[in-house]
Amino acid sequence: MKKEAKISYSPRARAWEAFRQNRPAYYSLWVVGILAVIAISADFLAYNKPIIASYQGEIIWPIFRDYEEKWFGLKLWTPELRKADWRSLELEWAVWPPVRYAPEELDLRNAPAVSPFGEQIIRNAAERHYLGTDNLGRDLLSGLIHGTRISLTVGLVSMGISAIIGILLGALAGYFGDTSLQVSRATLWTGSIGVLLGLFYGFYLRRYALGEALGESFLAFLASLIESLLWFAGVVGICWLPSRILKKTRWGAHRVHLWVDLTISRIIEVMISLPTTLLIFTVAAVAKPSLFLVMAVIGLTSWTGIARFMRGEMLKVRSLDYIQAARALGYSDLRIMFLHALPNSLAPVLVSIAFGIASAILVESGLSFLGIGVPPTTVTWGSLLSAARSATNAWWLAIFPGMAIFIVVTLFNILGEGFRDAIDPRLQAR
Amino acid sequence: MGAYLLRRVIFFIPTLFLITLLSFIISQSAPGDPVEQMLSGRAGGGGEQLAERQANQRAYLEKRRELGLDLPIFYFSIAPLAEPETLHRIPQVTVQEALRRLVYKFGNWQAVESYYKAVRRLDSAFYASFADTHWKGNQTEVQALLTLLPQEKNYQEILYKLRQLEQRIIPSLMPFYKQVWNTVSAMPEEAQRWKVYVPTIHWYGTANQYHRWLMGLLRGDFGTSYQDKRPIAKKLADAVRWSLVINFISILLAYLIAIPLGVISAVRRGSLQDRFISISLFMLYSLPNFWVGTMAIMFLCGGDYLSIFPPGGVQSTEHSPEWPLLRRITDWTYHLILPVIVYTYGSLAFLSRQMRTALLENLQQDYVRTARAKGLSEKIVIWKHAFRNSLIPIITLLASVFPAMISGSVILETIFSIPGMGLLSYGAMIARDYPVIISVFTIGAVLTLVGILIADVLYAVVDPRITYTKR
Repeated sequence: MKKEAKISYSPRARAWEAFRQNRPAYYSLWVVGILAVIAISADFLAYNKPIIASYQGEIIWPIFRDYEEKWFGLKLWTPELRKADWRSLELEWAVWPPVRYAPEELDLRNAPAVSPFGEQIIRNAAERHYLGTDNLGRDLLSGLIHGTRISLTVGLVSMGISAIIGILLGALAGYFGDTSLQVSRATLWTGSIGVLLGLFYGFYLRRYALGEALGESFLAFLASLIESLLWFAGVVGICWLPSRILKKTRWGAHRVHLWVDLTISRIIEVMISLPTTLLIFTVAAVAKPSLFLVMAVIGLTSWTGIARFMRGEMLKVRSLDYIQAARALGYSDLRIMFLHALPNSLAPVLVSIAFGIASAILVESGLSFLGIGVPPTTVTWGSLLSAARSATNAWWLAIFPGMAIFIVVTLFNILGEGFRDAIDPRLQAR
Repeated sequence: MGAYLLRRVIFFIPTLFLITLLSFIISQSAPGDPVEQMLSGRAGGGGEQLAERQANQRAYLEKRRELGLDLPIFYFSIAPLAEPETLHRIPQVTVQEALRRLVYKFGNWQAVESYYKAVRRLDSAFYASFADTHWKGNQTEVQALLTLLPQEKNYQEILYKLRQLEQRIIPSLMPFYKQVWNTVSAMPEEAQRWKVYVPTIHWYGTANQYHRWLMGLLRGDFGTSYQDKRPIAKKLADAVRWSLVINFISILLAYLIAIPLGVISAVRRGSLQDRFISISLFMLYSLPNFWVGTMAIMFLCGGDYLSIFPPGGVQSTEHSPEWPLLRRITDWTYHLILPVIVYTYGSLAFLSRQMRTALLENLQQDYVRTARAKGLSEKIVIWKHAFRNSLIPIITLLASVFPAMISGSVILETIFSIPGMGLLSYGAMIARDYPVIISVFTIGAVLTLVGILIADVLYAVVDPRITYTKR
């Protein structure tokens, strides 16, 4: 039995092995991978320009040229080619994406809502709307392909945000508890003053700059946020300096406990009693429509589950022998927490993240189904599905986008179940 | 129990406070000027004749005072030294915002204020000379520019707008224009940027917008809707009925079906039945309810396909209170069957999956083995021992099912056109009727808290170990 010799007994390898045994979950991971490829290469699967074409003796890569224009702000197209409908140009030869329509492009000849099997006004068979069009004449398949990108981005970014917050707060609460984080009174006071002033200089004074960057683009917001964080760190640093002197006094040297766990647990309790979905809906309805804002709000309101899991895991891990050993070696708390304890407690968080992605995608589709929060020009699965409400005979608009949402949500739910079954030793024993 | 309940309620107060604060912050960040929304845009600018304009401005200021919008926003404010603590008195939120941005840029309130006053003087001088013959039809352009100028936040844009004004303005207004220009060019020269970096706290006391709003809330006064100028409390009272009826029926149904399903599939674990139930529940759980709702409306309710159910609404158009009760109930039932199914299936799937897991866990416990060893019948072991203990997690879920339904109803009530809270808030979202949106959020949050409280109480009923009283 050669195969048995391969079985490793590290918990991680065992969990992975258990996960692979779980066929539906394992295949779901593959399908998610394929969807990710579709999302990344969406422009090469559905676009209104060819990938490569020969036009009037010149070889052009139109999609890449569009990328260059978009990313580097160049002006590369001649005016007539910029406006041209490439499908009607006389190309010597061309390699087209399988779907020859961009998602937001209105094909007015095939509007409103042409059935996939119905008669379509097209020049040749390759230009067919394979899944029909919506009430404005937008190609449904193209919208679905590009919608994959939006759905997966929403899932990943919002869960990324909530994972960072949840893991950090949960780890702090679990690792330190209420008694093991002690600081001198000097550090506590200078630190608190520093944080308050840091918030004032880093975020309050810069709130207009931050808000404008948020409306502009994700990268601009990131840059602005980093600037704010630098201000914050600088101010906290400066305020902390006098603590070195204050520590020498009797008052300042007194050590106090920080109630890390109590504070964070209270915050979690309050967060749980907020109706998060309603909050997301309200914020999305009041604010200017922006996909990033939707992701940020979902991320900021859904970290409690992760934080609770993380806290529980950390509580378990911190009493293990190897953590004691690390402490005995004199490692700093931060080093033990992030390098030794955290990696061992991450597995259950994965479960939360998988379920979280599923619900984030569901919330975003719900929002764009209602047409709030997401800019009206952005084509998403939810907005395509909502087109079915105004075109009451268009069964394809009701079935395909909903099917896409259903499949992705199911995949991530299966993944979450799979991770949980693989990690939970109680279930393995069954 | 009473003491525990009291403690829970007291604990909810900070959460409630946070919710009202959150609602208030969101409502503050809503774009647009609430007073103009209330007067439907006829205030502020607008109005060509001087007298008419003055009347409009008076109406604007009066409404503003009536709504308490001339008050400071909160009990205290944290602001840079440069920002005056009386900035809230300036009418029009957009103008306030623009002036604040200028102060943040230059740090000198005197300079910014004299600019604002100069603009106001130019504005009144313009309306006084509206009938002047020198205008050559330029009035509307100048009027638009003068309306936009005080709302402009960007210094460069202000300069640009002023240059545009200069080309169009008549000679008699030139001195007023020159004043504005002087104050604007003085701003960078007289900048006191250090004042931006000195934080100050100012205490306003209870005469503030938040306090007013909160007190109104406690009295049951949610404000007035922008759309139809009706009190929001009345609109909510009309709407909440239907939401509560549907949510109540569907939560009840979900629990009634979910519990036996979960028990069957846990007791017969691994059997064909269990696998069938598990897989179909899993599918149901992942099925987006707004998809199912859309398909149901399209394929079953009139439209171009089948016409088994009515296309939305809660009662037929000819429904009247004079009908015999039985007929009315039949009518309602006929309309509500489909929505209730779509409302229910998601939480049903979620609940029975939880029920199955909980019961499976309990069936492995020692006390169940003991009960079996005692010779108790399987029925008693399951229903009297394991089942009762498995109910606890299911009951806690009430706390999460309830809020999920409230927010879920925004989508479902829209699809099925049920005149409840969800449809009300959807209509408000589309019409940008912010007071209604905020009120629905506040009510939803409070109902969520109530759901959590009910779950806590039921907890004690089911599990005698939890007594909530000090022993």
